[in-house]
Amino acid sequence: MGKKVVTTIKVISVITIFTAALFLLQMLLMPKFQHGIVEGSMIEEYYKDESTHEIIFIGDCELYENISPVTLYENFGYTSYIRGSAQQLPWQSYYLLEDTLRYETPKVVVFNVLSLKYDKPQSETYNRMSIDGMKWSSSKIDCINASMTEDESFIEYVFPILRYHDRWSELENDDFNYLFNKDLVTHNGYYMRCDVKPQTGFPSPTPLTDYTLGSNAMYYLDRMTEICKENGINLILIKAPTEFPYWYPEWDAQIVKYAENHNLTYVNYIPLQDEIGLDMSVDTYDAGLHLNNSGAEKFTMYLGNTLFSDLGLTDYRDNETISSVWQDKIVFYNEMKEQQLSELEN
Amino acid sequence: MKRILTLTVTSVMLFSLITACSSGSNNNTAITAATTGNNEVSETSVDSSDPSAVDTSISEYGYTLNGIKIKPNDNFSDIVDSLGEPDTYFESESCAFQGLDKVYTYGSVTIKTYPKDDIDYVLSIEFKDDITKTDEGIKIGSSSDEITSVYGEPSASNDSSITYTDGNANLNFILTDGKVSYITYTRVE
Repeated sequence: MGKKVVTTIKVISVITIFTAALFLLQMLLMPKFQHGIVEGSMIEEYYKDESTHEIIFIGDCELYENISPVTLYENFGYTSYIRGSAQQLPWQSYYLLEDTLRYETPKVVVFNVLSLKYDKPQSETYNRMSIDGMKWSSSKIDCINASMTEDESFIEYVFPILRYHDRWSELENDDFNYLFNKDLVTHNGYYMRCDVKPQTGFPSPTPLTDYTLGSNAMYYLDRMTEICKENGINLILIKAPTEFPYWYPEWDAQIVKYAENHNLTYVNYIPLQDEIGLDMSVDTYDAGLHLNNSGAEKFTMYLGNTLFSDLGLTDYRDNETISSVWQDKIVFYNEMKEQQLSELEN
Repeated sequence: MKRILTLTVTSVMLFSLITACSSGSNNNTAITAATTGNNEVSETSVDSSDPSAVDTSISEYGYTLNGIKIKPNDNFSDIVDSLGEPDTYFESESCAFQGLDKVYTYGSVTIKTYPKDDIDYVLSIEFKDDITKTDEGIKIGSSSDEITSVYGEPSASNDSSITYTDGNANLNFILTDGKVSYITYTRVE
């Protein structure tokens, strides 16, 4: 009897050690997204933020590069977080929203409508950036199933080592340095870029044979609308004030109608660039695709003064607990801004 | 003891298998990609950041430019030098730098490309004006009757467009008041 117990303990120990070793290997092989392309770190950062937020932004790079939650807090006291990711698709936005509601119930959710032009799964690489950082839940499972391209399989999301195993020959210092802990790369989801590359112009838009926004994309917009309604959340639709990729008037008309039919606020900020105070010769870092920090702060101020002004949001600047948390965020934000500006000068 | 040994050997073999094999899967998390300094802007009206498998099924729909027949999904990296210097060129990074979307203009013809595994593939071919005709002779200003007399029954049509689909390509005629106002060759999504 004693011998059996010892053998069992030994077997369990070996299995445990083996599993732990595999898990450690998996952690090593997964990309860290700490330098260069940092977008892969964005989704998981949300879980590190222990404060609550009255505004949640959900969507793609037109949100996470164009809006600054720190600016919104500093100037208005509004707390917010951008649950953004690169080429975040409508179904991913829905499931990320569903995931967010496990942790908090904001007063307002802002969704950028550009992604509604995508009706089908697009890219495994972008999928991983939007999904790998999610904590495991039914939302993540559903998100994976809705997102997978033909070449992907669910098991590779459960065991990412199956996907990233061939990175073993490409391991870099970051893979070891950030094995257990990663640095924050965003400011409540905002990706800061202080450099400047002026917008010079865009090619003419290509006429489409069919401007109807896809039924799958709109189905997930319906679900976002519904879940916000069920939770007493004010869902606001926006189109960020950047002109490329091209946002067809025919698409815009469909969203205007959708908003009317569902009693939602929708604002297309492209025609409001002047009113916002944007100068696309200095307020963009990539020739007009996204705003830089200067542009993002202008747009954020505009949102604070207009869109968010009558929504009953709380000014938390006098709240000792919350302002203490945000003070740290402000310091981090200003440090990064100074560092980037200093690098640009040199 | 024998069982433990078996388990350990199995573990080592599995470890070796995982680290040794290369699925050739798209490892395009682009960890090694660096942003370029030349970020001018291109525009695509269809999804250009789609690195899903390139459809190599043969299509008859393509346009002959400078003696070279070009079709959607063609490897443009192979032929771009043969076409000569474009009149204009734009490029833009896609989100998280998953490659550059590019737009080349040769006279009245615009070619847009998308990147996959460091190769540029043809996303679309577009005609800007009525100087250019399709290889079959249709141009901007042609009537819908002229289109169907040349190409036959369309794959799809409505008041504002006529589309022919073959293999991995669409030939699209955008109509305004019954006349062709724009012509595009696009990849089948």
